[in-house]
Amino acid sequence: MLDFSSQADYLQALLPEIVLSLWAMLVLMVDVFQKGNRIEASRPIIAWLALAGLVVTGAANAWLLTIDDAAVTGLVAVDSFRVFANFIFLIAAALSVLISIGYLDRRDINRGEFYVLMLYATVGMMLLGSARDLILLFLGLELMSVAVYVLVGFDRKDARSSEGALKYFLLGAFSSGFLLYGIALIFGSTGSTNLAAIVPLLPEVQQSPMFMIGAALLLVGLLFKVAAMPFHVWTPDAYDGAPTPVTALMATGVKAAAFAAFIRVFAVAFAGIYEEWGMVVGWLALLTMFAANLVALTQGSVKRMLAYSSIAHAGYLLVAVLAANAYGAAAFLFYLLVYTLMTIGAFGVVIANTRGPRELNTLEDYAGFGWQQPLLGAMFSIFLLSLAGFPLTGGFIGKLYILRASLEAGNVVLAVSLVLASVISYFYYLRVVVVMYMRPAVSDDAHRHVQLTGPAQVAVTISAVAVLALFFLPGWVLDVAQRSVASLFTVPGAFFGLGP
Amino acid sequence: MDFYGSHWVLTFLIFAPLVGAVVALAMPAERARWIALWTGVVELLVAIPLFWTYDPVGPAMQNEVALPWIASWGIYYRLGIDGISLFMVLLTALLLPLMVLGSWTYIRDREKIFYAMLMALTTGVMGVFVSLDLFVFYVFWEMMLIPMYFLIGIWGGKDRIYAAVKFFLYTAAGSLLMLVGILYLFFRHQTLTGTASFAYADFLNLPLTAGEQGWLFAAFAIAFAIKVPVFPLHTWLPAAHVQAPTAGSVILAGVLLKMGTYGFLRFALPLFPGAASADTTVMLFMVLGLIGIIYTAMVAAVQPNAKRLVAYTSVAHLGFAVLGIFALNLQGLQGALLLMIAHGVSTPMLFFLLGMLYERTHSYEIEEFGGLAASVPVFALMLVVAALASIGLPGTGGFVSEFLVLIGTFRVQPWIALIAASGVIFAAFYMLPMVQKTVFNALTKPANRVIADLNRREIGLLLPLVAIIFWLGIYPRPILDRMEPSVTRLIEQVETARFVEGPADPDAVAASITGTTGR
Repeated sequence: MLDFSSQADYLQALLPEIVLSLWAMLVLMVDVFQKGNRIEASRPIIAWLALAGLVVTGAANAWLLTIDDAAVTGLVAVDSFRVFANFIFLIAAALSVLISIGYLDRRDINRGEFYVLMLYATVGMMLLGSARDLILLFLGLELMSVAVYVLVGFDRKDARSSEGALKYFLLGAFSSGFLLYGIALIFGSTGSTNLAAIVPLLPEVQQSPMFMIGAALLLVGLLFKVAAMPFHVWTPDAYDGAPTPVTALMATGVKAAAFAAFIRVFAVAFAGIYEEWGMVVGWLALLTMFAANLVALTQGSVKRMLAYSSIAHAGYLLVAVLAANAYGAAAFLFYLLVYTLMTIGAFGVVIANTRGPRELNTLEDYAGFGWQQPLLGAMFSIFLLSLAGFPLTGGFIGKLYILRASLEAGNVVLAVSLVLASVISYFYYLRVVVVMYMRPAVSDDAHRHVQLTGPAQVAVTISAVAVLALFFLPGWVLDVAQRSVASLFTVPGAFFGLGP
Repeated sequence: MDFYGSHWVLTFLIFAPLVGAVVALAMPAERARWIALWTGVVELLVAIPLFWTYDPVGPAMQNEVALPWIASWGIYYRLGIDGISLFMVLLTALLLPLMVLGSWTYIRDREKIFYAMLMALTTGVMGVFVSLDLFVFYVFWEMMLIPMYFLIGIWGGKDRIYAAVKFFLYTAAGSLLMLVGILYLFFRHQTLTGTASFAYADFLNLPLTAGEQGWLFAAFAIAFAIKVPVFPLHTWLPAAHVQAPTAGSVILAGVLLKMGTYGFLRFALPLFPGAASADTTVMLFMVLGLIGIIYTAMVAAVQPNAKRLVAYTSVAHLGFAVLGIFALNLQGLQGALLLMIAHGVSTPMLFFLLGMLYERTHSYEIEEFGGLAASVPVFALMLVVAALASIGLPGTGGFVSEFLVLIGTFRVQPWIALIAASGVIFAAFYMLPMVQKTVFNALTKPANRVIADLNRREIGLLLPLVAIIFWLGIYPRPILDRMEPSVTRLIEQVETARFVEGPADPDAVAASITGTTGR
């Protein structure tokens, strides 16, 4: 039983974060002691150590389920929503680590710090997803962001990598400023940064401009991190320039963490002022879904196309958040899981088909890919169809879940818009399949050299199988997602707009 | 285990082709067509007894099953057949082995994937016709798009990619709106009863207001109208037909289009009877059907490409089916159903024949031929039979079905029936010149003198089709008997709703909804 009466309780409540932080330091030490002062590629053991750390953290995370969280005033939530979200972050990180193996050597950036930064980014995500206090939220956000800024620019010799990092950093710093300013204003109007303390004051401060501006700034900060339009301008360059495994992590883990915080702060704590933020976010969701899909249509680079597609998916997830009911939150968790698997899988195939140091990845590079690489081609098709939300893939069940939640909440316009936006997305997902199977390859051995290292192959295959399994046997995961969000409502004071 | 008394026969028919596809993928490429042929033969042999084991005594679903799949959402593996779906199942099972035989020498490239796709496609189509759970139905409905897309896109003609993408996007766009409709039904059912369900039977009795029915009917009807295709949503069809390989055209004309008309009969009409039988809806669809008949007949008449010509005739024929469906009486509906079967036999036969000609001459252009009766007499005979069946000459299935449709239409809209009757003449107007120019006239092109006539495999695959064409035309009684109870019930469902439109007491429904839903 935790009531946070003593500081020692936090040792239990933050166990996964503590484990992973310490482990990351260990990885760093091992790397340093192996290399000494020589400049050379890290040993393979570093990647495996990082992976082991994620597994151990997963165990610690599962252990959280056994803790009974009695307090509502603690800085961190100890509930099954957090556990589920943490597992998504850990899966995203683990798969990203797996697809990095071999890729880093190819780009000549295999340094131990890469994996260490990935682990710290994950710690940040976990803090962000569990924060019940705005200060901790900011802390998690910064820990995650700073690690990712560095990761984006990890290939110092590559101009595009540096360009992406700089853009991301500059705009990210701005958004952090917004967020912090918002927190300050909320603190100014309510006298607290603790969500549980703020919730009872909502009816009072609802009329106060200071509070509303604070909430708006907070909203902007979070929307920036989830890359919703119009706060997405950093996304294409950062995603395109970053080393592909980092892109995969940004598109999944980083986005997932920001969304988890979004749910906790807005859908749960600020549910009482839904009227104020719901409309704004609704319009942004519409904009994000349609504009991102339309822009994705015009992309010639597959990696950039996937970047825009991930913006569009942020729009879909916003629809789930906007449902602001139990189904919405559960739909969000389920979709996020599928989304993580299919996105990382797709980036894994992109890694396989990346040639040359310039990292060009045009549509034409995929001509005949499906015939010369039958397994990778088939798996890429599965990921693309799943991203499009086609039946036989988990993406379909996920989208269905969001639609269901949305109709349940009476958001018929959003549901229909999501469907129409999906129709647009069919064009560009399908185009890759067309090129892979229906255009002849430039030469008979154009794709012969394409290969993934064993671990990356495993990661992509696991993702593909999981995406299919989430269609055919989703029952268990659906139930877990449903049960995980139930705890969100037990928090006193957090009222979900159920009822007339 | 009673195979024909339980769902196992339907489950077998759905999944046997899928197993065949997996086996074909695992085996060496040269075995693929044999595996596909054996799968098709087994499929057909298993399906045929259904004709007799199906008990035509009442309208109830037979061979039913309900096994939980995603139980917390009320998604069950629910199957069953009645007099409406029985013949679609038989037609699908018949076409699989014939398509394999028709592709025997036609497909020489990437055979393994081709036959696997063909079998996977059959799984999807079969599933559509026997699903009684709207989720399962939707999954099969969408699932069949992928293999068809690849069939057109990989083994098609010159503009295959354009045709494949157009086919995919048209159909997918329509069905996504249907998905929202299905979810809306699900949601209404849940608010009214408190239980989650996607079952067809549960949705049948859902009280819906006139406004809701209108929107939901529109969502479903657009998806089905694209598939049929109803004018003006038909433009994907000629492109897909012309570019598709023979087997693709055959299954497209044979059963894929029928998924649209089947959707009207199974879902759009009984689920939203008030909206479906509203005067404006009936008039709209009758006029669109009529335009389809007349306009596409005219377009067909000027086509220089024989395959494109036949593609347009499909739109014209299915215009008759639409007329019959929206006549909403026994003759009209039975006629529409019979037409779905008759067209599902005669048009595939035409496509097979054109495919055989293409294999020999590499052309579909009518100009290129002439006087083929002298060089390939068996082919010429078969083409004449298929063309006459397509026109609807007395003695063929086309005649009986179009006649029934016209009677049914005449009872409700005499003028439309009169104009539609001229469509029968139009059919002769486009089909006969095509036959004349290809098989009769003078044999002017020297290349056409040396074409080989049909071989035994080709004759063998055409003969069953010829037999069915005449059976439908001469003695359709057993078929009509099996349809009648189901069709009568369908009419009852629609009729009763004409009088009680929407829920009896809107306030009571509203009261039961508030308190359980969100904002």
